[in-house]
Amino acid sequence: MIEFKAVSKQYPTGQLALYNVNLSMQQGEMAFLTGHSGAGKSTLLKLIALLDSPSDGIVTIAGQNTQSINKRKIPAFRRNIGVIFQDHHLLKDRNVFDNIALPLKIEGMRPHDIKRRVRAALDKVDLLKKEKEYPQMLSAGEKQRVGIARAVVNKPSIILADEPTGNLDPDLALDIMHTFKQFNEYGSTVLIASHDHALIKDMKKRIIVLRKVKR
Amino acid sequence: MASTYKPANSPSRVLLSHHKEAIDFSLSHLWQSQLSTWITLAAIAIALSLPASLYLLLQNLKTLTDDKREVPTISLFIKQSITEQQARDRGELLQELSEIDKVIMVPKSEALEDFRNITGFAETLETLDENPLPHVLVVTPHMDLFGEPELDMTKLARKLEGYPEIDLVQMDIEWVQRLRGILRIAERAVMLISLLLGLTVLLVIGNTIKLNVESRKEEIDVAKLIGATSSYIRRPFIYSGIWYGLFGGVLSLVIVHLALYSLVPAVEELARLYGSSFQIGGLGFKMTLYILLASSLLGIIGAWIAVGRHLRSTTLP
Ligand SMILES: Nc1ncnc2c1ncn2[C@@H]1O[C@H](COP(=O)(O)OP(=O)(O)O)[C@@H](O)[C@H]1O
Ligand SMILES: [Mg+2]
Repeated sequence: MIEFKAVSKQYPTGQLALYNVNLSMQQGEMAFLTGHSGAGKSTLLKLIALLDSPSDGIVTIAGQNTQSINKRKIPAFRRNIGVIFQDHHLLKDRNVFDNIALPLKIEGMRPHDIKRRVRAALDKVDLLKKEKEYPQMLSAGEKQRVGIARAVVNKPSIILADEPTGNLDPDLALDIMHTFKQFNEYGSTVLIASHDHALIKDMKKRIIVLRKVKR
Repeated sequence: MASTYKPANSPSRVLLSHHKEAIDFSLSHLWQSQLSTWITLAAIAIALSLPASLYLLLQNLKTLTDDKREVPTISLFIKQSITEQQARDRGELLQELSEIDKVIMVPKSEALEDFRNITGFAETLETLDENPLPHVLVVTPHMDLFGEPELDMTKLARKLEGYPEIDLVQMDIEWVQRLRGILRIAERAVMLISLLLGLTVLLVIGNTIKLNVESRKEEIDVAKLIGATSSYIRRPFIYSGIWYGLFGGVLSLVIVHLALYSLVPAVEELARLYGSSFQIGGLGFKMTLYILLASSLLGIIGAWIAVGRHLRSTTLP
């Protein structure tokens, strides 16, 4: 499902974020990505989500070399990947419901179905009571969960999460991890960047370690 | 990519819902920022109402010149050596020409009578032993056949000069003719003004949408992150452009018609004084539609340019 072959990423600033990364994930697999801060976890997820392109090597998603995907097809491709960003990226001027509904609206789903799906997603992250509230009224943890709900609401084939439990207390963090596990059991391939070693050990899933590039 | 468990949405239904969403969104956006919306609409309406009212002025002046009684005539003075009968025959032959509507024969005797009746001339005429006036054929050309009346009038005059019986051709180019000429120039000027003010509308809308895009930059980037296509992102802005153009157009029509109806009593009074049945005319259905279409189109183009610039400048692939 996800394959990296000798992938390197150097930012225009000259910063080498990834060097010679080889990685393979099966469809339906769930794995954790760890490494020190600055090891390139976020960069690796961005390459999968087609938010950036490798400077060297080949990234293959669902059998497609990401470099050779037609530019016009990128949005459709991206809709099959749910991303939970480190800095949640919620829209300030829309309430929780509308934020989560965004991917479904982009897909052109019927309002009736949107309502059902958004409620289901809200239920999973335990935020049903907050659907009318605006992001600035939410705690950091709640924002994070809204971000998760938005990423999974359209049932993407791949779910990527960048430090999704960074702002959550341990109990909630474990809850969220189990929610991801559930999505994985429904068939999604899940890759979570996290440096919460204790937590990911408990999950008993594959752990991929990124070592910081030495220059 | 595996997406078998996704409900199949037919592309046309998806597109329909996208349009509906964009319409709802753009309208509510206009509604939310009422003050700036009205300012923009006023700017557009003023820019549009100027060419529209100039056009209206021209149209009304044109109907003045379209008056059939005002069709110019050509007087043909017949040579002295030609008899009255010969002149009459020539008149009848001319009548057959397609460019000519009618020919009236004014024999020299009749002309002399007319002259006598004009006071002051009677005594002068008594001193002459013979009638110095020529027979005259008064020709009314067929205006319908004429594309450029002025040009064709001279062409016809030159043709008439060629007949052997005719001494002199005199065109009665009256004020109507001159006005027509002026109107043709004015028409071009209005066209140019319309073009410039159309450009103004384009800039006003483009700039408004640009500010709009900038204030929603974050939203656009997020939408891109979660897989929105360029056309999905562009659509609500295009609709905003349409609304600005359309509503601005409607407002300009209101302004033009208010101005028009405030003029009606004065014009009617003036027409009555001159014994004319002239009536002020409105824009008409076709022109109204045309103005609204043009302004909406300007809105689309302005919005397209404004959003296009942003879509290209963004850092995301
Ligand atoms: N947009 C960027 N431009 C330049 N350098 C970047 C950019 N994003 C990340 N980096 C650098 O690349 C390296 C890897 O960053 P990142 O992928 O964010 O690591 P992690 O998520 O594991 O902390 C870091 O040294 C970081 O400073
Ligand atoms: Mg990171």
